[in-house]
Amino acid sequence: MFDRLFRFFSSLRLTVVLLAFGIVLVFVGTVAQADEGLYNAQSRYFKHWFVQGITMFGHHIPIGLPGGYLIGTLLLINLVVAHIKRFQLTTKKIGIQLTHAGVILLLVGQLTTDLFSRETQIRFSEGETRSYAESGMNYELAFITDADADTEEVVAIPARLLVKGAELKHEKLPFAVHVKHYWLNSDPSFRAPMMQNEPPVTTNGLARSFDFRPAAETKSMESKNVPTALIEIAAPGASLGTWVVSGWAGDDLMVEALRESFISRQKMGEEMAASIIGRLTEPQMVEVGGKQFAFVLRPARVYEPYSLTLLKATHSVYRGTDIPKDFRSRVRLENHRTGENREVEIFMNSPLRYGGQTFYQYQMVAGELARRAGQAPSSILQVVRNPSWLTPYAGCIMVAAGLVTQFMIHLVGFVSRRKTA
Amino acid sequence: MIKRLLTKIGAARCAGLFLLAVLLASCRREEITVYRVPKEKEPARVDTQPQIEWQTPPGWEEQAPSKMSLANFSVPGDAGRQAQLSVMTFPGEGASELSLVNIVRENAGLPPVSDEELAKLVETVNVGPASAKLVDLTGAMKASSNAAPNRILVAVFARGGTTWFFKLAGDAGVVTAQKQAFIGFLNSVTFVEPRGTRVRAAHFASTNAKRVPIAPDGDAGVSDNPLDKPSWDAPAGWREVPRTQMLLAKFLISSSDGKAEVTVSTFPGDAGGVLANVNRWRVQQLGLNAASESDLSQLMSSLDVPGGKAMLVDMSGRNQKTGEKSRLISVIVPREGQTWFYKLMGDPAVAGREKTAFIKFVQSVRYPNV
Repeated sequence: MFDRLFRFFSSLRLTVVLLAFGIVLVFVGTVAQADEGLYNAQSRYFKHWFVQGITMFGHHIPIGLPGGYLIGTLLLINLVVAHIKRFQLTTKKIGIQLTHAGVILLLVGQLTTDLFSRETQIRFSEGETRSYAESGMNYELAFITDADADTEEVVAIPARLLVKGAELKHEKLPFAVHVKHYWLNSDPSFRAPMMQNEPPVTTNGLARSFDFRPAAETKSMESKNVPTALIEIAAPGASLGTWVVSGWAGDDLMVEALRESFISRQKMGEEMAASIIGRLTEPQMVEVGGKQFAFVLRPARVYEPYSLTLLKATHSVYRGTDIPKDFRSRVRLENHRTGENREVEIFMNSPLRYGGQTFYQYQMVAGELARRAGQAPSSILQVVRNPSWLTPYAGCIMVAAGLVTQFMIHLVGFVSRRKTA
Repeated sequence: MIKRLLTKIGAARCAGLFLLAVLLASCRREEITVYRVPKEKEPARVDTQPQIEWQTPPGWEEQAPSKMSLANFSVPGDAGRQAQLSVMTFPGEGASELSLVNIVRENAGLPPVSDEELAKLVETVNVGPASAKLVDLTGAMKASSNAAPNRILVAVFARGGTTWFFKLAGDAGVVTAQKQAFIGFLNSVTFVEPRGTRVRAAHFASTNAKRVPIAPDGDAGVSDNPLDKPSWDAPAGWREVPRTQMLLAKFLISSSDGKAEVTVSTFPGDAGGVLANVNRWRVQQLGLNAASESDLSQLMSSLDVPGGKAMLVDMSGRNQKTGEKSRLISVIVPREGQTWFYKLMGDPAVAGREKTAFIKFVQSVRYPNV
């Protein structure tokens, strides 16, 4: 049994079949990005074990394929087992061993990157301090209550759990959350008193001033899905009411986008836009057992034990043009645990590496751009956590060293044979 | 040979273990997380809420504002009759007089009017420096409301990017008697320009000596401690058991023909409304169809309790947890901004037999601060 398994996993035939599947998957997954969107296609084809049904040039084809994880893992096992089977500790083969080990490291590194890496963003205006980063894609329904005078307790429910009909409970919440509707993507509209509106879906909070309707899921890289849910909060013995929670109200980026569209597209005055936005962002609360719980559907947050304060955002352009010359964020890094308190400059190609994360300069509204938009200069940092970020470098060095070593062994052997001849 | 075999077994096992580890790692499920973080500082907001000042007519009583209104007044009349004045704003202006008047009519359950009819219905009044349309809605009645106001006067106008509504609604006699006082009140209004400073200011200010307490975030009238426990006389045979979170009390009733339980809870405000709660019991606990607003009047009956009226509902279905026949008798007591729920649920025979004792129990309750 072990013999057969060993033979199967170490066979070159398996390598060829897997490589062939790999080529097909890369082709299909790349073509599908046109129909399914970059993020979706990457996730469905390369970050899954199996692919059920593929999309080619607008047509759905109901066939199955091994996914990226399966092919990668089997290739890795194949390589490791073959390595063990054919391993000979001789100086003659040291280059080949090194090359194989390098390829194994590359595969393992890619797999762990896929599994454990995380990309988030920090958005702040000059003078603001953040000790958390937010997801660009995922949302969470957060219930926030005061824990003591200085801290608050957050119960964060990932938006993926908000499916229609779900009942969500947690020991820290004295009530259950019933999901009556959940729309992955939605559009808001202000319930202007002058317009003929249907009655609001609920008379609590946000729904009094805004209507939301489902929108088609977006697959483009330039837009994002902004979810909305209708939830009922029910304590044992009584319903506390039904509320609408929406990414449009809890995501600062979307709130700002909406404010701008009120001013530029709907030709509202700044004051009126600010007043309407005030209604959108008014906190929604429920009081249970003398405790107030504020709740909001917001981008999923990752808190860190340190904080960054944006001191200055610099955005300079080449004179007379809009072509950016330099994006630069000067931040203060404070970590109470270690006592660190220092200023750091983050700019293009010069990220800050700290606490296992890398902070890249991502976007910026500063300089002339901010002045024209009437906003305080602000900056967005891309925060990447990738525990295996060094493996591609190490893997490539090992492969290169292995190939050079093997080549040199052959070269030296060849030259010395010639000399002898 | 043995060494070689061990190597082989090791390799296959290692490969299997690795595959398992990777599979497990990739099957991480997203879960609800709990964490504590330092409180976020309240974001400074530009205060764009309009502010007004006024002179309160004699006899009127200022009340705390609510989320929907900037100011509220109780306007008393003879023999306990009264009316209510509320000041509301909506962002935006530019709607025609006709559409503003029709919005008010629609809210009062009246049909829209045409331009010609408009002139007969409205008169012009001054709200401070602004000119407003005063709409008189006699006979207005909301079908869904129990205490239907039968006369409404609304002054409506647009100013500073905001549409303002001053609404006096209530008993026809009181509204008629107070019309001049209402117009005097409207004339006394002055507008305070938004300061535009980054403060979280009160939304209104009164020139009266007696200042209305400003409720945090507009949540007015909610008891500071809703768990102030009342006292009651529980019938013999009811066994009080430790209450769970959110319940004020829980009793178990056991007998040879089955068992039932009684729970007492209270929530601020209307706790989502009577219909929502009745339907939650019907659908989630008894497996019945949801009732409509019109069904509600047939389902509910009135019950006298100390200090007012309560609503009683009696329904039978199947307990959604056990699948067995079940009867639910509940009394809803709205009281001083709180809603109290008393629920008897259990085997039909036990619930039926205990109904009278249950009602007596509810009537025996002595609420805090009474």
